[in-house]
Order: sequence, then structure tokens, then C-alpha cells
Amino acid sequence: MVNVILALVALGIAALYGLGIAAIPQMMFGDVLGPTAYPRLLMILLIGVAGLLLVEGMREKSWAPARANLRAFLREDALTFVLAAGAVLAFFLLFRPLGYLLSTLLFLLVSMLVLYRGPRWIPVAVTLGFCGASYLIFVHAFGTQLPRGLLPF
Amino acid sequence: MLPIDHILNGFSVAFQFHNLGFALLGCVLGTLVGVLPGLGPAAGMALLLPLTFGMEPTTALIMLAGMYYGAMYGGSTTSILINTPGEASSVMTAIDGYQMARNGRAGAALAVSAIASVIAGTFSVIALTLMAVPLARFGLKFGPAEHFAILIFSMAAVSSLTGKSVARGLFSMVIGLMISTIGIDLQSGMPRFTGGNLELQDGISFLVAAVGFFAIAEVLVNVEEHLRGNSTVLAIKGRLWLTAEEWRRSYMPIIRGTLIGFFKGVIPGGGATISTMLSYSLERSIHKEKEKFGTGMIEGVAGPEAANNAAVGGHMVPLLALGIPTGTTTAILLGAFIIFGIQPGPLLFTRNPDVVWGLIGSMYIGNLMLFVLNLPLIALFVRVLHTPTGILLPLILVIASIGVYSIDNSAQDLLLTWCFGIAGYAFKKCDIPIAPLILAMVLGGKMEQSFRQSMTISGGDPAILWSSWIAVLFLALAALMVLGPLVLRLLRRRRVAQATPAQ
Repeated sequence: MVNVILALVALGIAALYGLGIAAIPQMMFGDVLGPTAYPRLLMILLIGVAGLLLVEGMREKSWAPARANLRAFLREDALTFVLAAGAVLAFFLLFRPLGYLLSTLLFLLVSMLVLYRGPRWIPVAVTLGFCGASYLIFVHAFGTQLPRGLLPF
Repeated sequence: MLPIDHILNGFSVAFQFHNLGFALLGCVLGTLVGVLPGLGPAAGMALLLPLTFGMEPTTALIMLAGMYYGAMYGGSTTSILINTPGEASSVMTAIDGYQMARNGRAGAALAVSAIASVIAGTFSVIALTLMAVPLARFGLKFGPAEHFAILIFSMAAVSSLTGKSVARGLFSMVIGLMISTIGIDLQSGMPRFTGGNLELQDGISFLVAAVGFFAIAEVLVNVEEHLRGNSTVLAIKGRLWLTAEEWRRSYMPIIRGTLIGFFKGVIPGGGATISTMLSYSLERSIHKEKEKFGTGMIEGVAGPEAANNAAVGGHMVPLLALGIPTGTTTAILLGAFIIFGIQPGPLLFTRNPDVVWGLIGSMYIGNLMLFVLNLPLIALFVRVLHTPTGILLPLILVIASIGVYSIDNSAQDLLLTWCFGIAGYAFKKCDIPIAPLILAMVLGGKMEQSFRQSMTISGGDPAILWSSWIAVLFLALAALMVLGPLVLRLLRRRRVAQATPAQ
């Protein structure tokens, strides 16, 4: 089942890529092939791979194990995945507007309080310690430019 | 300069105080990365690389290489103490290593793993020193067509040997090649697949993808596992050394594992994992008491650990001499060379002798550093295993975000990393290998360039791609890599069908 789904995904990507190729202006000065020939080859290759995946998928004796895995994922892990991925996305989106210190403080505090099952003071202490130490090390020792955001430093 | 002068010059570079310090730092960080289950050398290097941009190239590469073989050392600790490999190539060590720990011989298992690692590591660096220059001279014969063929071979080997399905490996590879075409086309100056986004005109950095596919995806998977429950860490019992009997049983597996690991390491595909499997199978097949394997046999730890570490030196041979990475970690290392403006390949030894010989010199020193550090400090490294996952995972994510943001100070890179992280999670869940994608992203630009150069030379005649014996050889090998597993599976099915009586 996974192979058949992957084959369909591959065909979808190949179609999108084909649209992208059509949007490339053709300039062939000193280049016999132009900028679209190599991407075209890749598109054909992906269609071939989709065919191979389809053949492998059709030869699978039973789709029952794959269906059971999918059901188990939806039952046990899907919600965790959505929440974790959502938290990471929120952190990345707030990284610039809030600045490194505030966004990291917020993200670490919330995620550690949810994931850590020991005494509550430990996540708070680690968050404060890590934010301060990492800011000093990266900004002052390595010279890394981190966003200031709402704070003046 | 004579070859011996280059080697001595390399040692003088490696022995500079700051290079020694960063080699040590790389080794320690690598061991920590290896000890932590879920974080392999590729993820560790991807996380560390953006932070080395301000360093001198030789120093940065010495630190990254130290991290690579440090992780190989550290990976065995978790295999032995919690039955969870710190990185993929320590899987075989877990089988007998964990049983040795349960039998109260954790100290001996850790000691044989460290001894095998230092012997294999040193042998492989000596072999690298001897083989790299002749191979680089051979590489000078390569034109664009030969280069294209060898890149095809390298990618075909990695796609077919990593993961369970050739089709899924090829899927991963083609997606990587497609991502590498995003940005300005260097020959025509035309933007491709940028959708009018100016930030995409420089292309997508392989580092953004590597951090997403390895670090972010790994954190997402580990959050799930963390919420299901933790593994218990076994205490180190017994002396941290071998008895005379254990040493007698270990030295031949170490020698065999070293040879297997090094020569398999030179060939693209499968990383060090296949060499450890080959070594374990060999030890089991030639042992008088085969049935005892899996119950705590020291040969089952000594051989694979030697193979694992010897493979690192093997991987460096084609990387340095031909500019061809044989797996994910060396692909990231190749990316690091390119970021620092150094092109690995046949000309590396003449253009940047200080860098390449300094790096090789540091590998001799690094191996000894790891041996000296690892046994006395093993208890300290084991403490890392007690770090609560709920504290560790968010910290890894923050370090990843600092690394990605510092590449170009771009918030868009962070969003791309998130997208790659989600894709990496899906790849892991669907058993699609990630190595071919990363390798294709690193080599994609070079592959297109050599393809188009060949076509320009021949005036558009594709026959140039198979016009020399070197190109034909590598194209044939690539075809063998892709078609071989498919044909073998077909033959196996036919044999099973013939053996099964008709219903």
C-alpha cells in the first residue's frame, strides 16, 4: 500500500515539476541543451520510479499489515505528532518577531513542562540557564547574529 | 615535496595547539552524539557545521572529522548498556554487547569495543594515507563524462544498498536531485523553480535539508518514543579491561573486522552498517560454537566494532581522492569542504596539501585521543544517558534552529527546515532511506554540470557518456547496483514458486 501511495505522490511531484519546467525561460547561448533539458530528464526518471513503485506495490501479497500500521499510527501517535510539529512550527514562526531569547524561553518552558515528568523547578532552571548561556556563547563567543525581536539586546 | 614530507607537514598542522584543541572538542562532542540514541554523526555534524563558519577551514574540518569518528566510538556505549544503538552502525554490537552487560561483563564489552576501535581506526588512517594519492592520480584521468558516470554509480549504490526497497531509494535520490535544481542555473543565468522568491535564487542549502531530515525528524520520532516509556541503563560491572582469555578470543575478529570495514568503506553505499553485518556474520559462521552468538560472545562485539571504525577511514578515501561521498556523513563532510571553498578530488592534494594532510594527521591523533579519553571517562559519558529525554529533545531543537538561522540569517530557512523535518518524519515512517536524498542534494549540481559539459563538448551527442572504458565501467556498475537486487528478487520468487507444489 505504501508503495502505491508513494507512486501517486511521485506522479504528483513530477506533474508539479513539469509545470515548473514550463515556466523556465529558454536561453541557450553557448549551451546546446539549455536550462530545461536536465530537469526534463529528472522528471522522466521520477515517472519511471513511480512505475517501479507501482509494480512493487501491486506485487505485495496483502495490504492488511500496512493498513494496521496506519490505524495504529492514527490511534497512538498522530495527535502527538501534530502537537509536536505544531509547537516546532510556532517556535520557528516566532523566532524573528519575538527574538531569540523570548521565543526560546517560551518554547523551552512549555515543551519541557509537557515532556519532563520530574520536579517542576528543573525545566524552569534549565530553560533560564540554557537561554542565558547559549545567548552569551553564540552571540558573544561565536559572533552569531541572532534576532533581537522585542528586546533591545 | 616527497610524500613523507607531506605527511610530516600534515602532522605539524595537526599538532598546532588550536587544532589539537578542536580535534579534542570534536572527539568529545562526537562521543556525546554517539552516546545519545537517535542522534547520529550525520545529525551531529549538520547541527555543528553552521557554527564553524567563522573558523579557519582546516580547524573546522579537523573538528568535524573528530566528531565523525567520535560518534562511531560513542555509538557502541548505548548498544552495550541499553540495547539501543547510538547510531545505525552499532546495531550488531547490541546483540552480544548487551548480553555481555547483562552477564556482568559490561566493562569488558566496553573495553574490547574501545580497543577494536583504536586498532581499526589507526589501520584505516594508515591505509588512507597510502591509498589516497594513487587514487587521486587515477582521478586526474577523469573528464566530465567519467565524472558523470562515477557520480551516477555513487548515487545508484547508495540508493540501492540503503533501505529495503530499491524503488524507494531511487525515489529518495530523484527528489534530492530535483531539489538541487532549485535556484539560478549557473550556465544560462535563468532562475529555475524559485516561484519568484528571491531567497530561493541561491538554491536550498543542503544543510537546511540535513538538519530538517535528521535533527527535526529525529526529535519528532523521539517525542513519540519518549511518551511511550524509557529504556533502563545497565550499570558497568567488572573491571574495564579484558582477561587474557578474552583478549585471545578478540584479536583475530578485530583484524578481520578491520579489513572488512576498510574495504567495504571504500565502496559507496550502505555506510558502515553493512560492514558490521558482514563482520558479525563472518565471526558467527567460522566460530565452533555458532549457537552461542547472541548470548554475550566477545567476538560478536570485537569484529563489528572494528569494522565500524575502519569504515570511517575507508569512506575518506573516495571522498578526499575523488570527491565522491559514500554515505550521508561523508556527504555532509563534502558539503562542509565546499562551504569552505575547498573542492575534494584529484586536485585537492596539490592545491590544498595543508588542509588534506593536516586532516589526515589529525585522524591519527584523534583516534589515540578517543582511546585515552574513552575508557577513563566512560562513566562520565554514561551519565549523559541519564539526561531526561524531556529536557534533551527541546534543547536539540533550539540548537538546530540557531544553526539553521545562522547560515543566512533567514527565517525562511527555518520554515524550510520545518518542511524537511515533516518530510523526514514521513520518510522514516514509510521506510524511505534519507541518505540518497542528502547525497543527491550535495552532488546534484556537480552532476548536472558534468552532464552539460559533456554534451557541450560532444555538440549534443549523448554517445560521449559511454565513450571511455572508465565511464562504461562505472555506468555498468551503476546498472548492476540498481538491477541486481531486482533480478535477484525475481529469481528467488521463481525458485520459491518452483519449489511450492501446485495446489
